[in-house]
Amino acid sequence: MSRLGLPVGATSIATALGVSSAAILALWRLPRRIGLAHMAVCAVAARFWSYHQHYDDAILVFLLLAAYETFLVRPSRGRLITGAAVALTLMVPARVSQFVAWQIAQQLTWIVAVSVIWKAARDLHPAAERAAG
Amino acid sequence: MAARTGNLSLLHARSSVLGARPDDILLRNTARGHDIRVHWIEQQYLIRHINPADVIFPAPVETDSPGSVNPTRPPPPAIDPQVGRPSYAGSYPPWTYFTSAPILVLPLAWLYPVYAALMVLSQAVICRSAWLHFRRWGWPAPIWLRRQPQPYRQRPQLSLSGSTPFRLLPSSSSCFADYAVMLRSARVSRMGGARQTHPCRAVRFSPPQALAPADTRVGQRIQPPGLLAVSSWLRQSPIALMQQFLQFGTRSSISGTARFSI
Repeated sequence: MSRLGLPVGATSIATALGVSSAAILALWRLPRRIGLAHMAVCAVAARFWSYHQHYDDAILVFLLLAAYETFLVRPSRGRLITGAAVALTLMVPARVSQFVAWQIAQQLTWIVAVSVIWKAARDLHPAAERAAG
Repeated sequence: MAARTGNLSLLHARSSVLGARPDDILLRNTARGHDIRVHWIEQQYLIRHINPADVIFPAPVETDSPGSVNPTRPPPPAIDPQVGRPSYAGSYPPWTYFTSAPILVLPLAWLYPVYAALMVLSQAVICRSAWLHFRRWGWPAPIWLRRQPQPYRQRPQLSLSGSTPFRLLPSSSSCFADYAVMLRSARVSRMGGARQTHPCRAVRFSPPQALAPADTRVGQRIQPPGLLAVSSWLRQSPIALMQQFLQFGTRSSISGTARFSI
């Protein structure tokens, strides 16, 4: 965001607070049994919030695994495209990640993917089971 | 749990490891293994109770006239010849000097192999945890092996709808994709069907069924190496296998996509 002209300090604080809050809320709404969906949420939050470079994208392997699991549990074209998009963002050469447009596309892909995974994890577990943990 | 352990290991391995190319680590090419060395230098200054920023930024501060030296400011610390000059590209987040301290206290000569071992260990833990997690689907679970949602108390149905990836792949690669489907299915059939508790694995199908591809046109692309590989895998005659395959493949064609009730 700083490359788009936004102030660095305010952007960092807003990102840290926003991403952390969203991650906490997402984890709270997930089933209590720890699974790949939890790790995917944490991976995306860590990737957005903390100091990172393109080589830190390896943490998103858990997002990729969660997307893969989501597709295997209930296959659909949308989930297949989501997983393939996540895989693409993680497999392109590192030099491509220097472009701001690609970084924006990457981050949008990860947000969409973690949303799909989060919704799929919630749909798999009924509300009663979520409450019981 | 194993996956979370891998997560933590990966976080600990972090930037320096994954930022370096394998040849940087193996050949100790410190010119390109930049991140590890810069981080190590700063950590070494911190161990000596020296702020590395004071070493590389010795300019005076808070003086009335620009360019003059503040007499109250102590002289900047000298560059330690055993450590080297800190880089302007350093200044890592503060917590990394604590989280990476157990590794960065090592001598520089030890740093690269230790990081390489840590990287390999982290990747191994992640791979193993992924395998443990996904083996219920039969690892590696090919994406074109789709499990159709079935009504309650009905037999699970496995659909080899391979036509979609076949259309996406170039024709030369299609053969390899076909062989992957065939070999994987043959392996399942050799195991006698269900071994896991997942309904996707609670299947039994014979080698002819397993070998029938999704698209009957695949049969036209079967090459002798693939047929020999499958026949050796099943310990059957290639000719008999081909006959079974063609017979079943022709019979099961449903508008270009074969579906098998398994």
